[in-house]
Amino acid sequence: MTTAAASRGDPATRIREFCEVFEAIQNQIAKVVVGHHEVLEQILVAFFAGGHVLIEGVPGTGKTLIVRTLAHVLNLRFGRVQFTIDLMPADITGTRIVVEADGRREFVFFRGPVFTNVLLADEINRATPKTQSALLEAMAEMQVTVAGSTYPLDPPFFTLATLNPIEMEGTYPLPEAQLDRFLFKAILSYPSAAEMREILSSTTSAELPESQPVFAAEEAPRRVEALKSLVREVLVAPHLQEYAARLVRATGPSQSKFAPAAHDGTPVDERIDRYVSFGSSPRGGQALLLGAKVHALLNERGNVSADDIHKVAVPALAHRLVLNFAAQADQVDPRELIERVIDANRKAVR
Amino acid sequence: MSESDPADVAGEIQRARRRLNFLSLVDRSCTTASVCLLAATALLLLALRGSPGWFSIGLWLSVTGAALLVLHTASTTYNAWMSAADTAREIDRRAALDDRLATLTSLESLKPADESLAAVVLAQAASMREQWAARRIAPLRPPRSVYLAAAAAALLLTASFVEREPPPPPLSAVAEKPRQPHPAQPRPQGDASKLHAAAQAAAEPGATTVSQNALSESLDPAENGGSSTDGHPAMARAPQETGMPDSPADRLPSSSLAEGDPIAGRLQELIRNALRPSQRDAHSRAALLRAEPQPRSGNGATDDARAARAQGARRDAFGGERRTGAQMSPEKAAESRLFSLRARTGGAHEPAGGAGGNGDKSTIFGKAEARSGTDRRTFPIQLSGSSRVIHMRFERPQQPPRDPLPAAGAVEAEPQKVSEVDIEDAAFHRAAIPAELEPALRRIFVTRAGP
Repeated sequence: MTTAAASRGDPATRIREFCEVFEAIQNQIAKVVVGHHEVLEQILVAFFAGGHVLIEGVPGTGKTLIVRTLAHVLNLRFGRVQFTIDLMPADITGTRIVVEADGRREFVFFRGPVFTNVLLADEINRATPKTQSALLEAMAEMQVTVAGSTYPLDPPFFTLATLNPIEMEGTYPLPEAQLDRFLFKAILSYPSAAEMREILSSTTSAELPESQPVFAAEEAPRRVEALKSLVREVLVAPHLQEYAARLVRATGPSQSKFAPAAHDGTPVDERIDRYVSFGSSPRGGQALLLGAKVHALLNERGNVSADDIHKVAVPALAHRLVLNFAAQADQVDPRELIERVIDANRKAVR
Repeated sequence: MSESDPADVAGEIQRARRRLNFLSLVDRSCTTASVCLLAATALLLLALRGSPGWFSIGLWLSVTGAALLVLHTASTTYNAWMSAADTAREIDRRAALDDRLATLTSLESLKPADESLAAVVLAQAASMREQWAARRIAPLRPPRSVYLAAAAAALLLTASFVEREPPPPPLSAVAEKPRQPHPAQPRPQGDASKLHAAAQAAAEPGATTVSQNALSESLDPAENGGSSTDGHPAMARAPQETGMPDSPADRLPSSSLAEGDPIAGRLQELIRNALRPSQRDAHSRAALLRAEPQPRSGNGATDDARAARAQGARRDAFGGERRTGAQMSPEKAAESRLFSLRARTGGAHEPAGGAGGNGDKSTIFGKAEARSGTDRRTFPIQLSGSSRVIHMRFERPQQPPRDPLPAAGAVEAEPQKVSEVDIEDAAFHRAAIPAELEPALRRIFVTRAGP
């Protein structure tokens, strides 16, 4: 770490640079996207943490606009896939086709839209699980395997998938393994009245708002990767690692054979026991700490605090809970369950 | 960044750690001491005003509870003893440092490379040092439990001034109550051998309190009216036998519990003697006085002889005690001092206790006509006061020659005589003693034996 870090300069300066870039990106996106400040922050946090984001929102709330604007501001390559029921995995990852060259025919791999920096998987739940799973390897390992050949993705790779929660007919809910690959799940709500007025005003005038890239095109991937590596350098005290693990364990029911909470004394909320079939995976813990590290940098700190963990707990853990039928019948919100878990375990870190 | 000295940060954390641990120790110790002092206060009140049964229960409950509490305190203090990492977390919490110190202390070295983010954390922690200085995080001021302990100590001190127990009912009331022995309980018989044993025990050095109890227990409950000092088995029978109202102490657990707990009984006596020696004497006398409401016939010598016959076994025990005891009891010493004083003031010295009676002759308590029954209720306290004055004022005199008491079984006792000086003694003048109580009073002075 020391040699690489030494070449990057003073850590305090790097932290300040990180904050400035983050703020600049937010400001540029805010020129186009009205409102949704919290969701925008979550998306950027996940981006610099090296994760992917699942955005859920009703149509017309700006999901696609947010992703396109982000790619434009970052000056990164942008790819978009509109997921439909007849979409095939090769349509995403790419395929091998026969090409005749010099009188010889050979298979050549044509890269799919996944080979980009920012990928928008629009209405991902409309594709079949087989197609949805085509993204698994790319999201988790940043590579694609086609016909026995593995093709790495160029960093940075950032997937933003959108979900439409109201048109459920003909959709395929994302499998748990797929959901688990997303660092955060952001919920886009309706804009407020003031935001709505501003949206109408800005998008119906002759002059449309336009954002400017923060990075130059040639240096954008390198700058982004440098900032992402800075995130990984943020220090986490052992008791906070333990706290994050405790939170993750507390999301599982005590009576499940997959839940370790029943055996280590972690308090499990009564509603978790009643409504949750499976709790968060260890990826949830990773998401907690990575997101917390970004928040620490945003506060110009080199270390994670408990409050940083609390800030990202809901978007990092809520979508990893597998709720049972009772929860669906009672319309239980998993975010409320996570908040209860935090409240129940908050004193453990104090 | 590099200006921040890791050693300073580590040193400040250590200082805060020492202070926090010290204050925690003081706090827990004072809390424990407060609880123990409160228990001691309750125990003291029980010793002074409670029955031996309750005192025994309270004693062992307090001892057990205090032991458990001390163990618990030691255990919790050990578990709560802060390490450097714990201290860092505590400082982070109190000074809102966002876990900076905890992060720093988790590093292998507090001197990180300048390029790492730990240097940033260190610099930030050092820049906020005034915010988390040890004197600010853990100021050396006494915790609240110190005041609690002081209050408990004050309570204990206050409790030590509590009177031993309510004074006994007026003697007239006792004397006028007809005796009604409980039909269901056989009347206990006096046991001369028991008295002998008690007297011998009393004669042993340092066995003053034992002798009092033993002698009291050895008394025939029928003769002393079923009323005795605390701890006597007759206490439980007292209401039935004497017709006295049932006191709270009588409703408490049976004194048999105290009988089976000599440690508690001895401790209670020690406490009472240490705090209220004169009261204790007064109560012992009062108890014995209640035991002897026998009317006198008028002839002092005859009455004395009859009293001696009635208390034959007891006198035998006292005599034996007097013969075997090499040391004088405080009461006897007081008597002797009194005699010595009178001799020095020119009065004729006569053997004590021989001129009793309530006829036309004066007794040691003054002239008969001066002893109206209206002042009798002040008798125990007055005696106590006079006895104490004698203890305080005069040097230990030469023991006046006394006739040996008859051996065990003998009932005739030589009546003691009192000089005119004795009769005129101011201290005894203040004691308004009914004539019929004279043998009992005389027996008190005889029975205050033991070293």
